[in-house]
Formats: sequence, structure tokens, C-alpha cells
Amino acid sequence: MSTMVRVTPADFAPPSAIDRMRMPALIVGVVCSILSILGAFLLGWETFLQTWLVGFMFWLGVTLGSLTLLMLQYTTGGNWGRLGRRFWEAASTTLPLMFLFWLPLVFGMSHLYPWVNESREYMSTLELRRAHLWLNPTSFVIRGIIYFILWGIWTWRLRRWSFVEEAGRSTPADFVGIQNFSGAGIVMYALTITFASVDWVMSLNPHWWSTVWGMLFMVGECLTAFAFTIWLLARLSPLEPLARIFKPDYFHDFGKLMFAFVILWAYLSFAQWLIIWSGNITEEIRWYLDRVHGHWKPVATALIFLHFVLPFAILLSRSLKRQPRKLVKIALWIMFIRLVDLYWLVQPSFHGPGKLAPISWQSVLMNIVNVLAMGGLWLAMFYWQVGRRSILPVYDPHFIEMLEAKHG
Amino acid sequence: MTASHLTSSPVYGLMAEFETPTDLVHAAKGAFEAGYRKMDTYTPYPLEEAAEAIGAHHNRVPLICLIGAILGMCGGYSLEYWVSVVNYPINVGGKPFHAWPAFIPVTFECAILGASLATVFGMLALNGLPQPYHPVFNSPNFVRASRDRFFLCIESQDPKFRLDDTRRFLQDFHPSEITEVPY
Repeated sequence: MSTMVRVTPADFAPPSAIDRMRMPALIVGVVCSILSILGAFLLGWETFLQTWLVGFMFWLGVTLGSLTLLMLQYTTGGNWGRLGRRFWEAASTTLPLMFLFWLPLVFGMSHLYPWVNESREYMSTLELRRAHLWLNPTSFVIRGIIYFILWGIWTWRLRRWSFVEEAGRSTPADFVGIQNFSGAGIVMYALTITFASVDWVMSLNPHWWSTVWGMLFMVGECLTAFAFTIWLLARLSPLEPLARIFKPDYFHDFGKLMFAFVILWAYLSFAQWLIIWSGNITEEIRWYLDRVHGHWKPVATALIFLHFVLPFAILLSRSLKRQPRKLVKIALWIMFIRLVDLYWLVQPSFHGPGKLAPISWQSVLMNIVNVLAMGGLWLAMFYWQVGRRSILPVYDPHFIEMLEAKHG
Repeated sequence: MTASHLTSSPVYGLMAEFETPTDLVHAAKGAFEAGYRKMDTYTPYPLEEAAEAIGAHHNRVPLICLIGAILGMCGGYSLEYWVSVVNYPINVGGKPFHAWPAFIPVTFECAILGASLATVFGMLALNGLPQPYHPVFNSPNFVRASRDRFFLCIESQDPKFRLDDTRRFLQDFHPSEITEVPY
């Protein structure tokens, strides 16, 4: 029990499997990008942009969700957090890529957002003329850039700290500093994601508003990031060097947190629905009517059962949460259903006057292609970032706890 | 039940004291593999591996919790249904009497209430608490189970329990002390 364990970052070099995963991701990303541009010419830029927005919000969710979990684990501690730190650092470093993915939305703004063209009938009411002070192309772009700059500041600072720590040049006071910085970052994230989700998604329906909207995206993004992390750990934990320290407890922890976020998603989604349903005001309820009729009825029903009831019931089981092979299936399912949820939030907004938006095969196909295009490029960059450094923060003040046998 | 079993009955069991949790888990695993079942481990903090080592993988508290939750859920929903549809229907904002979305919050809270009450009382019913007397406290050093020592007690109720054999068996795991626990 008294032997000194001395570990260095070199002992926890990333497995070579990560390098092997990079190329396939890049190929998928490039091929789907080409398909996506072809599809845009064949099916029209509107279809392209509408589905691009869904894919963008999904991968932004993985990126920002990871940044948030990174900040969360600095403020709360816990071994599950140390385990995920390098992955979340790498995931948040893909932010420049997300900025590039954002640009099509900026240039295609007029095809997406009804408030861009003042001449449309949307600008008829006084409320919307007032809303125009906020929703106009110039301020939309400026705000977008501000969000990315703020996310970038936190990503960059946390990343720089991590390199200082790995070089063995950090002090305990530095660690407290980064904890406080992370605490402030969570507040920053709560504010920016609220504004960003209002700008980028809610403003598709400028008549409609919901105050829980930002929280829905916050929870959705953290849920996606948890599911992504579980998927990644299920692949990497059987390999060295993670296999050396890995315990079923970690999957249990991640499973519990994913479970909590599934409940939180249902709670907030239901809160929004209950309030609007109770009020039953023309301006508000219209948003739901567009989403629970026609083609969208089975989707809305499926979301209740497949985004909440099913994962909730399955994740109740303790033993399932400790079995990576079963838990990873739920995690993959949650990533998929997150995408369906985003599709359901975005797509019904593009309806003609007095009509419901249909679910067309073009839009579904285009959505898949766009998600894969962004996802392939995103994962390629992510694997490149993960593969460059040690896979665990060995100089973390509490890292020694991870090396001990659980009952030590 | 053989005669030798009956003669050993004045003893509650044999208590082995270990200095580290690792030794305790090792001994507990060994005892389980040797066929002992009626035994328990006592540690200063929850030690899941020790519980698993003596075969306590599952207990019925989660099931009781689930049943409590389902009963609470059904109870809450039925109460609202009975009040709003059967006993005292009021038209609220033109909504149907059976307005299920409005029933969900109460249903949810009742499920939580049912689950927590079932868990607490189910746990107490299964573990036999409160228990004013327990023989393990007769072991002189046992107070340290809540401080810095780890104990394994093989109980005389176990069909495999023979005072001498079991003592020899425990000695193989090098405990710091083995004591007979009187009733």
C-alpha cells in the first residue's frame, strides 16, 4: 500500500486506434460534403439551408455540451470528470470548424428567416416592428460573432491551462483559479446559448416565443455530449492505457448523468407544452399546432415515448448502466433521437400560409447527408486533437485517486 | 442439522478483523468461494466490493421503490380524475374535464412521494432496523468497525460453520485477530 506510484503523461499516451479512426471520418466528411453541395444544386438551397441548420445545431450541441461538461467537472470534481476531460477539451477545440459551419446560415439568412425581408407580411404588426430592432441582419451577424468569441475565450483559456498543467508547471492556486473561471463560464454558457438558440432557431417563427427555450437547448446539448462521451468511452475503455484504470463505476456515473438529463429534457419540454396548452392563446399555440398535426403527429408522439419513456425506463436499471455494451446502445439511440428532436423543432417552421410543412424524402435525405458531412469533418478534427496528447490529466491534484483500486 | 452444529449454537459467529479493505475483500471472496453464505462484512464506510464478494449483488429495495412509484402515479392520476371528472367537474378555460396534461405534475409528484416512502420503509423492513440488540457488538474490538478496521463475521447459522474448521479457514487470510462472538 505504501509504494509510491509515479506516472507521467507519457504513461497515458492515446491508443493508436484513435489515429486509425481519423481517416474514415475524414472520408465520410468529404464525400458527404460533396454530396451535400450537389444536393443543394439539385434540390434547392432552401432545402439545403433548412437541413444544414438542424445538423449545425446538433454538432454545435456536441461541441458546446462538451465545453460545458469540461467546465462542470472543474467546478464539481469527481473521477468521471477527469476521465472525460481530454475528450471534452478536444471536442470544444473544434469551435473554429463550427464557426465555418455557421457561415452558410449567415449567407443564406434570407432563405431561412422570415424577418430578414421587411417587405413580407411578417412585418405588419407593431410587435414585429419592435422585434426588428433585435432581429435584423446586421445585429444577427454581430451577435453571432460575439457568441463565438465568448465560447472561444473559454475554450482557449481552459486549453492553455491544460497544457500548463501537463507540463507540470501549475500550482494549487492555479487550479482554484481555473475552477472559478469555469464557474463563470457556466453562467456565460447559460446566457449565450439562450441568446443563440433564440437567434438561430426560435426566430424562425418571429411571432412566437418561449422563455424556457434556451434551457431546452442547454439540456439537449449536455445530453448529446454525455451520449457522445459514453459512445467514445465504450470504444476506448477496453484499450490501453484506459483499460488499466477503468472501472464499471465510470459507466455507472455517466449512465446516471445521462439518465438525469433525459428526465430534465422531458421536464422542460413538458413545462413549455403545459404552459402554452393551458394558455391556449392563438399566438403561442400555433407553434404546437404546426408540430402535432399531419406528418408531425407521429414524430411528436414518438418523441414522448422514444426520447423520454423508453430511455427513462431502460436507464432505471442499475446493472444496465454498468454494462458498456448495453449502455452504448442507449447512448447512440439518444444521439439519434436528439437529432429527430431538433428536426421537429426546426423543420415545421417552413410551412406555407395556412398549411403544414410536410416531411419530404428530399429534406430527410438532405438532413442525413448534412449531418454526416459536418459530423465526418468534426470527428476528423476531434480525433486529431485527442490523438495529440495524453488521454488523462495525470497531473491533476486528484489523479492519484483514479490509480487506486476502488477499495484502496 | 447435525449434532456438532447444535453444540456450536451458543456462539453467534467468528469475527475476523482486517486492517485494510483489500484484505477484507480478499477474505470475503475466499469465504464465499469456500461455500459460506451466512456471513456479513462490517466497514467504516460503504464498500460495494465487500458486499459483492459475499454475494449480496441484489436486494429488493429497487423493486419496492418502483412499485411505490407506480402506485403513487396511479393514485395521483386517479385522484385528479375522480375530482375533476366524477365528483366536482368545473369548466376551466374551456378545457375538457379529463385534461390529462394538467394532471401530469400532480401525478409526477405522487410518483416521487410513493417511491420515496416505499424506499425508506421497504429498506427498514428488509434490513430489520431499528434493531436495539445485535450480537456483533459483543466482540471487544468491534467499535473500530466505525473507525479504521474491517470485519468479516461468519455466522454459526451457516450450515458449513464448524468452530475449529472455520477458525483455521479464516486464519489463512491473516487477519489481525479472530474472536468468538457470543450471543
